[in-house]
Amino acid sequence: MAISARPAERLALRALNVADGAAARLYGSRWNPLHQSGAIAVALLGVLIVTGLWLLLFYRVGAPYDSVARITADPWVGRWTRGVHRFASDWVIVAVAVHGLRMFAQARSWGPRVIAWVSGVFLVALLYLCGLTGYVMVWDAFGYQVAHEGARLLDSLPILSEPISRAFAGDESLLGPFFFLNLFAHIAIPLGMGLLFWLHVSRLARPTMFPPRRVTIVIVGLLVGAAVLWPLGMQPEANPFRLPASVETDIFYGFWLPLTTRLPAGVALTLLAASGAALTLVPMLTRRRGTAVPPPSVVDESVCTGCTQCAIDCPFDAITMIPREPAGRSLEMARVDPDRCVSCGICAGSCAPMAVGPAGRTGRDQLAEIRAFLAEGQVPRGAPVVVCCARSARGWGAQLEARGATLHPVDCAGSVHTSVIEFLVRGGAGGVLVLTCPPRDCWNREGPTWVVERMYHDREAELKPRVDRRRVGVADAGATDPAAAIAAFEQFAARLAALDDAPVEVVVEIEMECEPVPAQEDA
Amino acid sequence: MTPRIAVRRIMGIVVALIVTAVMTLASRLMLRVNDSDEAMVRLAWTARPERIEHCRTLGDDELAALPAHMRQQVVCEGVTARYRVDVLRNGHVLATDHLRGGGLRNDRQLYHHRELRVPSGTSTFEIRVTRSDSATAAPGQVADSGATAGELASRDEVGRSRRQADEIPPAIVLTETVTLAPREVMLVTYDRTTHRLRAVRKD
Repeated sequence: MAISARPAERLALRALNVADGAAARLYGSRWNPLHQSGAIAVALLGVLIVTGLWLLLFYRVGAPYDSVARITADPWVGRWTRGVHRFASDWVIVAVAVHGLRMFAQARSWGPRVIAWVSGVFLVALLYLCGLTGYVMVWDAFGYQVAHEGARLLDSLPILSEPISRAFAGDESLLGPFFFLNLFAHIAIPLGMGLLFWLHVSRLARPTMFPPRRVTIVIVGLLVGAAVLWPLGMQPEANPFRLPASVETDIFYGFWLPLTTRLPAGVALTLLAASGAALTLVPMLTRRRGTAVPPPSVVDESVCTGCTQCAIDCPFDAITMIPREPAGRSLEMARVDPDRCVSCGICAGSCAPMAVGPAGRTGRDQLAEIRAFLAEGQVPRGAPVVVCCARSARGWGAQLEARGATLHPVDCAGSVHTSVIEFLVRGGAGGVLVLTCPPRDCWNREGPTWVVERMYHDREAELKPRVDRRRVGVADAGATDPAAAIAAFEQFAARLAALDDAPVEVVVEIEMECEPVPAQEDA
Repeated sequence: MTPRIAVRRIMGIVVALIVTAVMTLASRLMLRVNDSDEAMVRLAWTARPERIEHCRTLGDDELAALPAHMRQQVVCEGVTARYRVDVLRNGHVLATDHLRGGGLRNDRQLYHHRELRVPSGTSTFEIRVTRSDSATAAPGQVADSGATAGELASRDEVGRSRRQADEIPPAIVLTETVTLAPREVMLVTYDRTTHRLRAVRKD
């Protein structure tokens, strides 16, 4: 029987929704820090690099403890810079943990995202290693404990003849070379992380690297505030001849110490390795099988005009343009890499002639569905229709319906073809409000961005000028932010109420053909 | 800004400050790592184990069968000795370890690292390191006289003597009566110059 992590996924999603809801109420969807945990982690790494380079100027491998003590004694720059460096290293662990939990809960850990997940786990491992070498650099009681316990665990591996622990026994003083190696590791590991980070985001188009400026400023401000208000001191220097009764422990990096020190080294190392392996293997436990696997996008080559818009818009770089052979109506045509496609459907919304999209969810499929939707009389004449993500609608759909909205949930608002909106407006709906997820919390990354671009900025597959703009609207509201959804809907409904009755076309004709690219070039 | 939004913003600031404070405190959590007042005896040393060799003189026929550059009249084969370490406190055995040389063939230096928790206060510790293998070394008695191997044999002999001088004796004992303070660490190490165990305390 296959082991599945789906129940854990659901539980994590529930917990995440509670936290998201609370954060959205406090900060609004736009500034919700939980929505940008990955970008915040990158920003914190930037803070670490800047402060680390500064501290490096004053660190001496020949006198590690004394040099750090000198840095800490400087009240103007040294102390708080060290504090910011230290606290940023803690916060990045929290940010990464939230990011990982988010990806897990939102089922974004399997299939084409395996590389991102696995490289993320290795990034976390390197982050920890880097942090631990940083603590050893200080060579105080906590640094000694980290080094001593780490050596004890590694000694359980039958690799080295001489136990590493011998280095910390106290019979020989640790010389500069040890601290030089440690410093080298502390600097080299982030460089390795850079390469791994490139792999981590390699399957994303336009990865979001930094949080909004306001969030960055607040985070840096809080870090500096914490460093100034709770200045770091110096713990006693490492002493192999004295066991400390208690040690000031950074729980973010030393949480494992109280556990492992009570266990035999082999058992503790096995537990740590097993935890790492379990995290790495999450994609195997979360992957969907059979019919639960959403189909990748396909291209109808006979319709594709070679315009490249789907390749540009795809948030996962899953579409490339290839030469059309034999040469036909266009020079190139789109080709979807099924190994990279997550079936988000964004391409369906970006393709004007509706030639691409996951099976059953292309623009043509959407149009057929909406025709049936209207034909069945599900939309009362003149009523506002809310096109929204099915996931978000679970959070507030019923509340909107109670206020007179007709919901049309879709997999992702970014995958909705603008023809659907045109069809609804011309076919009798009072207006169409597209409620997307918050831009930083789109499970498909760029859905809200492309919706706005297509509706208001003439991005290819744009909403046609003939559609009455007063009857369409775009807003965002997360699943855990019903207040935002209700406010957006009520505002939109009030706007519609001020308008005359919408004209209704009995037969709505939608253009489904585009000029192929070579024809335009020839012209 | 409506009063409701203003209240939320203030709440948001308060929550951010609380989270910052909690994370800052979690970064500097004072954890008890040694609950008891026990002291520690740490055994840590590096030593060269004794090489137990059996040497014999090759006959003329055997030498003739060898290539010219490999003709050496005395050949030695053997193993590195194993050792037993006993730690006694006030006459009671605290720990026993068996040591072998490092490396896959156990022919490298032997390394020992062991930490033992002991009650603080005055105790008499006896640390005994004894060779487990009973065989004694039997160095070659016949000088190498091969024309091409003479220099090689001589060099080999010098190397062997140097190695023997560095080897840990078959039996060494350290007896030490000490008063260990709570959480004090006494290091027991091997002095390669005097070929003795010695106790090191810094407090």
